[in-house]
Amino acid sequence: MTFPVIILLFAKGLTVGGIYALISLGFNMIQRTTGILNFAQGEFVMVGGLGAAWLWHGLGLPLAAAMPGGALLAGLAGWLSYQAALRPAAGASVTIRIIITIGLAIVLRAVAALAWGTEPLHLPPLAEGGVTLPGGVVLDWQSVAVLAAVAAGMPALAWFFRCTAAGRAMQACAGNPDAARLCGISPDRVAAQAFAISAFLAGGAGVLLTPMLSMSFDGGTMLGLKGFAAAVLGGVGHPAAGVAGGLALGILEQHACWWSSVYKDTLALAAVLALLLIRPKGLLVR
Amino acid sequence: MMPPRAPSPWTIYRGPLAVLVLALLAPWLPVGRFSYLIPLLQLAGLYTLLAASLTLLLGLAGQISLGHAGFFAVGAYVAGVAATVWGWPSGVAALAAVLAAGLLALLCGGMILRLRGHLLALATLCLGIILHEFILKSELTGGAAGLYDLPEWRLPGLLGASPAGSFYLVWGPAVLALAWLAHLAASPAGRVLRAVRDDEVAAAALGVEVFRVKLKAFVASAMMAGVAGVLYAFVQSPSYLGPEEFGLNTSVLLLLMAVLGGLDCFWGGLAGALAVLALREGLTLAAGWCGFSGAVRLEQLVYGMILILLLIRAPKGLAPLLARLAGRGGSPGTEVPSGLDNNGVSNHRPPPA
Repeated sequence: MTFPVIILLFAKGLTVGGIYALISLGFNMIQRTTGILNFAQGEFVMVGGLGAAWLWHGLGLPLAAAMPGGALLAGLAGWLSYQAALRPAAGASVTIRIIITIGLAIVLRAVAALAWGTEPLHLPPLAEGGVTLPGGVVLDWQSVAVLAAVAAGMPALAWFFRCTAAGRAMQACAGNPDAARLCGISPDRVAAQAFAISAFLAGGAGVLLTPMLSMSFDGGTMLGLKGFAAAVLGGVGHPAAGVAGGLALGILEQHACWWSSVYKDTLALAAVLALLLIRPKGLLVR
Repeated sequence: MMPPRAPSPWTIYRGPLAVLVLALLAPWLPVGRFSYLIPLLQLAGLYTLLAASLTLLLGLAGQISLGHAGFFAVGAYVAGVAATVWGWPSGVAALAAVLAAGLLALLCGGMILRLRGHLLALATLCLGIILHEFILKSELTGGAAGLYDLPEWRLPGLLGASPAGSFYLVWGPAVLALAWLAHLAASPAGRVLRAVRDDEVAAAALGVEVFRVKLKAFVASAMMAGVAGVLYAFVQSPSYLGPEEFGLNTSVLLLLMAVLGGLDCFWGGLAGALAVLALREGLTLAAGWCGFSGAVRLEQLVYGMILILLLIRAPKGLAPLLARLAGRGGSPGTEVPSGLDNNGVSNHRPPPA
């Protein structure tokens, strides 16, 4: 393995990992506020990507409006999903609510296929070219944008949790829903907000991913699972650790791909399993 | 809580007995243009067995598995490869397949069952995907092309020529599994399992060897899935064994069936498997009648919406709901106070300091 290859694998791994990290942030938010393991998280990624492509191709909006538009559309889908499917099941057990998100994923895939067809859609990249890294490796601007989004998203979320009323209410609900209710916070409303924001984050990941890979109605599922793996690998309930988990997973995957393209998922997932066994609470959690 | 009174054999086994009678009658009921339902009902038997394996693992022992299709695959492929590639007699191949599923569960469970909640979900998810990818890519299993011309099992004599010849072969183990679940739920071993599900620390304090109990349940559950795999290879689809049936979708579908049917009831898997398959078949028929281009997608949409609605309306599962509608409170001795929220999937909140 030569020096440029190592740099390339790390750069590409960080890009893919950045996508996983964004998905895991939203995953963590839903898990902490509601206890739900959201199987529809990948579908929000898909709605973001396809939504942006539709706004750009179909409605002819400029790219600068279509991209945030796609993420907002995903956020709306998240809010609607909660109100329509999970709010009526507020009294049910967590297990039931987790299985409801499986149904939700089926519905979201079907709606996307009905609205936008089953063919993959593309978006143009933000800009041509890229930055040259040591060793002569060129990292395209799209990848830089992903890393920038992760780098900007983390402090933004930290600010949201620490300095806004909505963010503090969310933290209160995560800590103790009953005490939060005594303080006049509605766990129901907080959960709806958590779904909207985490779907927005996932949708943003989809928007950033679509120029690199294109997106189709069933393309989100695996991404959602990788986001789940990233969140658990880092440590559930610790958003920053989830980001580290995402980046680690991306790098693992790229290396596995270099060793054996046939068994790349097997190698990456076997590594995840091994990490789980060595650090059962997560990579960065003691 | 009242001390549990030992239920009489009649109260335990009347439920499984009813299922047995229905299963014996079922292949003779659809006649004429409805006879196409027989293979579908046979498939329902296979899924009942698979969902029942999750009722055991998730409902009784409280351990989640997102990779159960992997054990299903091990059963089917060990049997298939041993019978076609290595030329073993099909009975020996079947035995080896079930043992292989159990052995794999013993090895993997020994490592991953110390994990809880989301971590266990992720570990089993990884396991399932790895197993699926292996059968998809390996040369031994025929890869994506699959295996052809496996030995076919049929009942001997007159029955072998009728549709019941393969029907009973699938439903026999399924009914046995349900009866075993009913027996287990009413036995001391079942109470130990539920104690582990509801509170591992309290169970350990009472002298339960928590890890051993979980491991036993995991191995038994995997072997049930392995039996289902053998039946899939030799009875359900002996002409062709391909990797499509064993992916993550199947693992998720099994979980859906088990939870939708009801985790606290021995026949929850049966109710869930029948409900999901009937729903799919009905919607496919309806979409065929409509016959416009987006019908398949619309079918999926309605499928998902009905599933969500059922889960909201019957949060304890379909089986207890149906039992209540029938005017009886489930099968005594199998009904347990719900401990769903403690089954390890829930978010574990730290104890107040």
